[in-house]
Amino acid sequence: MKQVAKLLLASLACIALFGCAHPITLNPDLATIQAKGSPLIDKQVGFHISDASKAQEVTTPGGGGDKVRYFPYRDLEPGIYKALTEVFRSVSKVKDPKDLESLRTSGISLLIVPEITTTSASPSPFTWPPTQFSVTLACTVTDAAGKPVRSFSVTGNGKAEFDEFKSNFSLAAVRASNDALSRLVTVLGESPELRK
Amino acid sequence: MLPISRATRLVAMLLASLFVVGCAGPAPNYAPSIDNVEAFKKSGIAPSNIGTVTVAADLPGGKILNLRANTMVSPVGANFGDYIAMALRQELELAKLFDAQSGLEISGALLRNNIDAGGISSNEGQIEARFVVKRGGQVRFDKVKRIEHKWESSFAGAVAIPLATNNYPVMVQKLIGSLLADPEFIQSLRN
Repeated sequence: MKQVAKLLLASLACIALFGCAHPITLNPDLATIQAKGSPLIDKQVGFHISDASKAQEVTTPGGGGDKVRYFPYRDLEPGIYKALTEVFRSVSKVKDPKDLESLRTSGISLLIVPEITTTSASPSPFTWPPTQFSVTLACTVTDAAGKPVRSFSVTGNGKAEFDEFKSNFSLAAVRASNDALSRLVTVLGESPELRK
Repeated sequence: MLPISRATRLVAMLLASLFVVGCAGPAPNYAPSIDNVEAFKKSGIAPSNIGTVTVAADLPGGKILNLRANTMVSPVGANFGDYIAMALRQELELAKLFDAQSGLEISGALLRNNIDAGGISSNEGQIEARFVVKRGGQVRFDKVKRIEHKWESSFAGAVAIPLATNNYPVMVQKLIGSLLADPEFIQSLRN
């Protein structure tokens, strides 16, 4: 009996200490995503995130040998939408980016397709929430005929220490999202190609 | 006294601590559903204002949701009625249909706000709210909407509790989606 208890205890310790993938979110604070007073570009733009991308769960390192898992496209979609509404007159979600006829008939003049990559880390051996997080948005912009207009990428970084994240384990990730989306607003607003 | 060895008691305590994990924190920021936003845009409604979603002082889960030994509060305002009102406002804002000066106003009352986070393989939550649309003080829509949402969970509190927390915004998205699916709601917001 004692041996069984010891084995169970050791197994539990392993479960508690290693290999756990803790769910977090990247949901940005939309109020922080704002253009700095530049006039809206008078264009109707579309953006495309596939259903498969939205369902994609990503696992990256946390602290203490643990990992964190999250849905980058699902969590960042509303933030990307908000960033685009800060720059362009009208924004729509596009289901099929290859349906150029549908793009033209709906009046969309630019199509933006983001690709999201993330990193996370924590030097802590005892706590699992990441203390450092980065979100990179690599965007390709094409016109209604499918011709490339511009490609660029922005990276946002977020940091959170134990005293801050003890009540919000996603804090570093949320800060990285806010930072990346604010940079997206700036880059879009400052791109002369998108105003032509 | 029961003949339980110290090791067994230790295992039981460890199991309990793995299961509950005590802590308090805010719900995640609301993530507007772009499907809801697009539905608002295509609905032909007039720009509208958002009023208050009231919460009775004695409503369980109105201010604090218990998730095992954890508690979750709204990151905005004083209760989860404020969270739902903010969610509605954010979706209208993204659809460019929010107007604080509009005579059309959506308000409501939270009637049930619950998450069962104790399951070891799945968990679920329910929200029920009355929504009222008024124009110049006159009621044009008054209905109760209720949603249920289920997700896969885990025995370990360190996984189950964040999962429960992360699913709350999804529950609110579903609640607003149920409202948008009601043609009488849409009709009440048209000029």
